[in-house]
Amino acid sequence: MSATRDVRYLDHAATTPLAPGVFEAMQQALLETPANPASLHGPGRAAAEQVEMAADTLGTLVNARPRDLIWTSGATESINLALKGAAEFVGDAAHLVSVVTEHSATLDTLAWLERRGTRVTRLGVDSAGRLDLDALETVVADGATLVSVMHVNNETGVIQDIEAIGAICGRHGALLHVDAAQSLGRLPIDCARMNIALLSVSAHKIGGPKGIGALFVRPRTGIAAQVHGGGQQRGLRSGTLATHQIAGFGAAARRVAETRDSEHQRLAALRDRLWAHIETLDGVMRNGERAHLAAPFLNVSVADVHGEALLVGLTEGALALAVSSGAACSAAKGQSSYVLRAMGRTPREAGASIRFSLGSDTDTAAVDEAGARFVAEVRRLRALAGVA
Amino acid sequence: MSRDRGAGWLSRFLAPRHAIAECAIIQWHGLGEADTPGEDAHCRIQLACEHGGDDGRIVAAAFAAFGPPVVVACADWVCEQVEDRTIKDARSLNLRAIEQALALAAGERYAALLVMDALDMALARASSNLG
Repeated sequence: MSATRDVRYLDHAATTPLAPGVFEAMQQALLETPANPASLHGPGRAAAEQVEMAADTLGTLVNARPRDLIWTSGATESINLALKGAAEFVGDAAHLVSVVTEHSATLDTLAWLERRGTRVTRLGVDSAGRLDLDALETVVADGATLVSVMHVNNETGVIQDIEAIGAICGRHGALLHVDAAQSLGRLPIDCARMNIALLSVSAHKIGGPKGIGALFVRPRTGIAAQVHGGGQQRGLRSGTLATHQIAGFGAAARRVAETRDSEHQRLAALRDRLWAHIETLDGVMRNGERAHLAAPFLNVSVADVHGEALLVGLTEGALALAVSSGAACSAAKGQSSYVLRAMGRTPREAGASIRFSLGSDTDTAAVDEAGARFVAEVRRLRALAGVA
Repeated sequence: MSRDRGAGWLSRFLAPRHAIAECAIIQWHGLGEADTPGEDAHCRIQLACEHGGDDGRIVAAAFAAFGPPVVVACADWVCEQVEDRTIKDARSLNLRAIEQALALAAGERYAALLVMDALDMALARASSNLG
């Protein structure tokens, strides 16, 4: 993705390059259907058709009716609308249940609600990052309004059993909101079968443009609008629709619908190949259990290396790796990954962790180069620290 | 960690020239260590000297460092500065010189302090070992 340096981009969980056909779809929408899709005249209807086509594609991808999709600026806004909207709709009796390893979009929104009096329960995870379903059922049976769980964790790639969670919610009359920012296009999502009432997704995680997302709202799910204005989208999210962004999202969704299953297998093989390089080192730990990890993710903790030094060492230099860390600051200051600490890693282990996330442009050569570079950098830093 | 990584220290972190692991010296005369628990950082500096006392000349200086990149860079720079100087001269090296040379931000000054603490101990030991 860089034109100036030799970089291996392995950060697709952060964002993805545009998928083939997306730019063209956006350009076409901008140039050929520039009218407001809410307008009733011919040009307006042409723009609305672009929106409907995208909704059809995205709806098919998650088994939802197109008219039940609300366009937003991204998953963060979708999550805000789902959680704040549900809490406001229910009022004082609202009880929201979630997990300590959620994305900050969820955790910060829950904290905001909690400061305003909403009851919030946060559940822990086991050493594999998985939610204890018995513990969840106990809490939900106690009278939860809504359960919010991310399908695939953004740091580790750990997959939660959404179908089982949906069944629990169904047994006790709670709504299920799923943050599917990292699972859309990577895992099958079936809103009907999984008993999902609310689903948050983002386009730029699947090769679409940044700045566009969607919230699926199951019929007869009570949420209060958080953005007011022209009454678009059934009044749930006012504002003129960004036709070109939505067209780009639709094109990206079409692409991943065609490639998802084959990409899953290909990326899982590449991820295991990358781990095979890394596990030649002593003192490395893979975070999460392979059987419950989304294919593009490999999260590794490294002993005897400082997290910030590792991240800077990898992301700078002649061959740079575009990778991420949950929090590459000081483990001693408690700034290491809260996700990994919830899974039982020590602050230093959680601080010295790197997330690789593979994607459509990742190939064997990139993985081999990244693996060799990672091993070399860990050895270099250990030598600098005087660790044999 | 700042997004605007210091150009002053980044190249030195990526390619330090005074790491103990790269050094062929067998006999060291002064070893100094320091920790900064708040930053999860540790630094060790070793000196090889000719002659004794404060007039002894430092013929080689090397470091081992665990911590953020700026710690490695500071340790490398200090080792470079003290080589070929007497122990007395080396004592004149101060925090401000490190901060200016590596363009340290306020939040990175702890690294200079850490390395200076290790250097002071190493100089004292080298002086007494050879005195």
